[in-house]
Amino acid sequence: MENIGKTFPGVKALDDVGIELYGGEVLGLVGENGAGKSTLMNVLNGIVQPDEGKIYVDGEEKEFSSLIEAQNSGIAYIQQELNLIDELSVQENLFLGKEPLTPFRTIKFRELFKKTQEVLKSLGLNISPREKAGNLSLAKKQMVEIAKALLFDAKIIVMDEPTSSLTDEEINVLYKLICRMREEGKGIIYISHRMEEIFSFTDRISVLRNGACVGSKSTKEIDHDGLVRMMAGRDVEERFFKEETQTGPVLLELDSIHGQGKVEDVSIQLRKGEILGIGGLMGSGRTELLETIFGIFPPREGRLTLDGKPFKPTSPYQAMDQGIAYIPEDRESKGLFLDFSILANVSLTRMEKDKSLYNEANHRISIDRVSEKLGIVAPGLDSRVENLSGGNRQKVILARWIHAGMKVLLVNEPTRGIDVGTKTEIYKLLYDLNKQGVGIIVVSSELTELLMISDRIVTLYEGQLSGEFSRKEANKEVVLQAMTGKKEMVTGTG
Amino acid sequence: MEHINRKALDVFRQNREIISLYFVVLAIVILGMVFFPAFRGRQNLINLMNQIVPIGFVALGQTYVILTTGIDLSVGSVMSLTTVLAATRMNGGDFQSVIITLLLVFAAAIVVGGFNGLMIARLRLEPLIVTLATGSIVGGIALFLLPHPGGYVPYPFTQLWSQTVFNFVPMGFLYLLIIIALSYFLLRNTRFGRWVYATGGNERKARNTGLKVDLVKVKVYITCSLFASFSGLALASRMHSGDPLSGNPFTLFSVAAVLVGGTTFSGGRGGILNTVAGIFILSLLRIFLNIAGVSPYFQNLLTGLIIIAAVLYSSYSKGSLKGGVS
Amino acid sequence: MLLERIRNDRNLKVMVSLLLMIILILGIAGMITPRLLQPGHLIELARQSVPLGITALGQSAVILSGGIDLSVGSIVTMTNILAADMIRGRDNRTIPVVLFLLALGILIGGTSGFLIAKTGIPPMVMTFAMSSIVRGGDLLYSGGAPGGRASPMLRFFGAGRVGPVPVSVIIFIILAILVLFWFKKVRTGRSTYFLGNNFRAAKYAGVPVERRIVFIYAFSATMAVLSGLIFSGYIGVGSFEVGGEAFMLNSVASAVIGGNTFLGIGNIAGAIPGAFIITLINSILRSLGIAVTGQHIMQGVIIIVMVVLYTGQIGFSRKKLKKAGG
Repeated sequence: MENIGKTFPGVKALDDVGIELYGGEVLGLVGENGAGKSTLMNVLNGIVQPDEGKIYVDGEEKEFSSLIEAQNSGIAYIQQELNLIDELSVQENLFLGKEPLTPFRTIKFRELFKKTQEVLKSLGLNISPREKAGNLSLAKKQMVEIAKALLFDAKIIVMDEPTSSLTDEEINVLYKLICRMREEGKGIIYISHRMEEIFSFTDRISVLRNGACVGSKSTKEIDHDGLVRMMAGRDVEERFFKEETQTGPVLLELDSIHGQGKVEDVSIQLRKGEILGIGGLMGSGRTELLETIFGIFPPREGRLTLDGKPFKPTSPYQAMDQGIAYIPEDRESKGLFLDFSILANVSLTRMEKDKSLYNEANHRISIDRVSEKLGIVAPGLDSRVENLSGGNRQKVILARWIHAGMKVLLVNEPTRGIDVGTKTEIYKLLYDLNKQGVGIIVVSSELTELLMISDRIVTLYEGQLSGEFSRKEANKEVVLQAMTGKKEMVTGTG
Repeated sequence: MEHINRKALDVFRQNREIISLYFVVLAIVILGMVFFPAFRGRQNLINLMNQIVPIGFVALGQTYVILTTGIDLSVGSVMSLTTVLAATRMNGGDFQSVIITLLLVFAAAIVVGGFNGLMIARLRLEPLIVTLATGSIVGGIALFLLPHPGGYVPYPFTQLWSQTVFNFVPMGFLYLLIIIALSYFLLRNTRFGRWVYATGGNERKARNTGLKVDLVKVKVYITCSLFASFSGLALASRMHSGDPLSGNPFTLFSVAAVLVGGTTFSGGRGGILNTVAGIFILSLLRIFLNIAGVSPYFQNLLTGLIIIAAVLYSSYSKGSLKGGVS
Repeated sequence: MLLERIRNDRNLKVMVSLLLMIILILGIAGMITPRLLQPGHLIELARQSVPLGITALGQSAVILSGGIDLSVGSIVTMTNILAADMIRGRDNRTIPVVLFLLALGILIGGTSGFLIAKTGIPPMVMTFAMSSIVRGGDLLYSGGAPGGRASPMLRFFGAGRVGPVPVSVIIFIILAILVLFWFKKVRTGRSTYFLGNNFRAAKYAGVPVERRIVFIYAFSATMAVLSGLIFSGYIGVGSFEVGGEAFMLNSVASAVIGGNTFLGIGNIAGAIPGAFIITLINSILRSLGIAVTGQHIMQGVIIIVMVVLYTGQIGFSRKKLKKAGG
């Protein structure tokens, strides 16, 4: 068999790291955020150059100064953010940078089309090569990326969080593909925060911590708790269920709301001191529903009641003013001002709410307290948010709303891309807020998370409510069924 | 058969935007013919073609740049400088002087475009600021060379532009058609063209895929400057003289033509055919104002309104009309 | 302690380097023509930079919010022509006319801002079109021949002195303090920086973004009106020479030299030294007899040099972090 070995080196983020990958195996690469997984993969793929250390492919020493060089040596990197350009067609994307050219330097479109069709067919994908990449679903885009890896006959395939936005069904398709590639003798490095996947997909697991490799174990030899311990270097209680709390009066009521896009006829009640989970596939209208309540897309029809008073969200400003808070799923583009300080990022909303003059000293004192409570790790309130890790960035947004004050908190994907240790912290913060009387609505594509933190779960399918489950009724199967629209199976009604 | 039908449908679906754009152009032409009998005349069509030539080249060049999410605000000054060079360097119009002047003009354009491109690509400076600054510098040089409108563009050279083929189509318009065809082909079928779209679509991803984005940008700004110098030559031959300020209005007019055609600042969308439609729409409306005898003062005002309306319409028809600046 | 603060605080660093630059330019100019450094001349320089400084404050706000205002030049011209024509030298008309013009400015800027916020039309196109409309309106109103003159009261504001200090400089100082306070402490002003850095995030953080965009463009237009009034008071008559495109470009240059970027990074205060530097250089070039040409070229060069320096600061660290993170 092919025997692929590599030894890795250390940048400052990486200290003397060595991992090996063999042909025909799936290697899980795990570690908390900032442990150096991405940096390591960037080194392997020539995006970052190492200060020391060497990379061997097929026993041959290699030096990559760009992604392209790595690709030419048979390494494919499927990054978290897919590398497809929406404006180009699928076939152009597949061959971008490697277009077959005629002697006149024009592109041989016929060859492009034929080859693309072949590879898509071999993957069992029903996508037109001429379709614009922007029109594809996330899952299909992911498959196209894999097609690209196959097309150029990659021996090593690196996948960074490939499932973070896929539904369970799509994950299954991905799983089959991975198995097939493994059988073909390819080496696969699989990075994920999702423990279930790591355990079911991989043959061997390497753990990174603080830029160092703390061990590689065969997947069979290690259990969930052991792995989490290795990653954190301490005992972490990952399963951190919410305590039963006494729910109070109805805080927020949606009465047959018709909103942006598909959202149709949704009626929900949220009680004080309750965490309501919303389950749904991508495109089920879950984000649109939250954004309707937050006033991004004012509702077309229906009534809202907040604290017993009628409430009509016409803009985020107005929703914020009434005590609705929203943490979007896309922190960087919808949440943060990366070039500005923590202080500026947090104080903004309070400033808008207070409607009085901005007094930096007052803000600073109060934000200092919030930041300490949330455990934001940063040199100071004046450090730029850009330098913070994903978990800390999420905490900055949370701090913004705590600083401003709120009655209802809407959270979209509370822990996407956040490591296990910080996840628990975020859960704890949500529970604390909940205890203080803040009603919380959570949307999450991680079912485990949803089941863990919600007092009650409602599901959305094609923009309509398809089920409601109390904590006792809820389990993976029934919620999933309701999410995928099998309405007749739904029995629970709260 | 079915396969071909499906393909045809595909083509239609993918080009619906362009097709509807040309329906607008057609509608404007028909309305013009109905309401302005004068417009039906042969001379008016020739006028239309002559009017389109200077704005045409520069708007095509601007398209390349805007497709990569950039903008070039130095084109007007490049045009001015070109008219100045043409009016002062061609002497009596002997073959040698004309060639040397042309080489000088193109060299100047390449230097300006190359400088813009390098500053924007290598130093990652804001295109708007860089080209505004180079525009200022180039404009200053034009004023230095020829402080007041004047000079003389010799007859043989203007002939190259204004002579009509078949007693109908001006040569300048033919050149423009050639450049349109070339640009269309270049952007659609060559590697460079697709890389332009890739760069505009998502620069970081294009870089990650290993495209030489910096090179694409430099080439794009050089192309834009070169096309602007073509426009300058057309302008000079129409005026028979040079004018250090004559290019200025074209800067934003070229941007407007591109946007009216539906190419957006967000990059990677639109293209040559869009811009051609944009040029036609804006030029036709201007001609109608002329024919209708609207006072030049009022034309200023109407041009502003037309640009707003046209850009709003083109973003509205694409369904991308939504609140917010990006 | 102070040095460390300067090193860490970008805006402070920009301010200090701008002050050093002013001193440097004055020093060099003083060596060539010592007359320049006489107190009287320095005060005259300060007076000259007032109209540009006021406009640049507005332009900086727009740029910091991620947009650009190409209409300020025309608004200055409009103010001058309307003020002279409507006041016709009478004191009792001055205040109503000033109020009317301010309202008109708010209306013009507010309309641009409203359309930009509501429809997503690119600010550059919107304000360019608005500029065209305003200029057309001017020409129609005046028939191309502006008349009238400023009243003694307006003349006092534009050209009067209290002791050795020009009234316009005093007005500017008061205005600048108000504006700086507004953009530091009051939410309508302070949020401008956030809009520029991440418009969407500002919206999601509960900033009423659309209203703010309207406010910012209305503010910029109001500043342009004030600047036009000061001009009118100084010149005393209506003229198409006042304001215009060159003045607009100067305001953009002042804002950019003042360290302001489209990403909300910078400080509106930078406009003040920025405007002073532009005025200073123009004045030096004029005394050297290379007024127009030199101004254009120098302005372009300074913009590029300053922007390269500024991006060297933030741009580099940003790029580095992008590579390390992820």
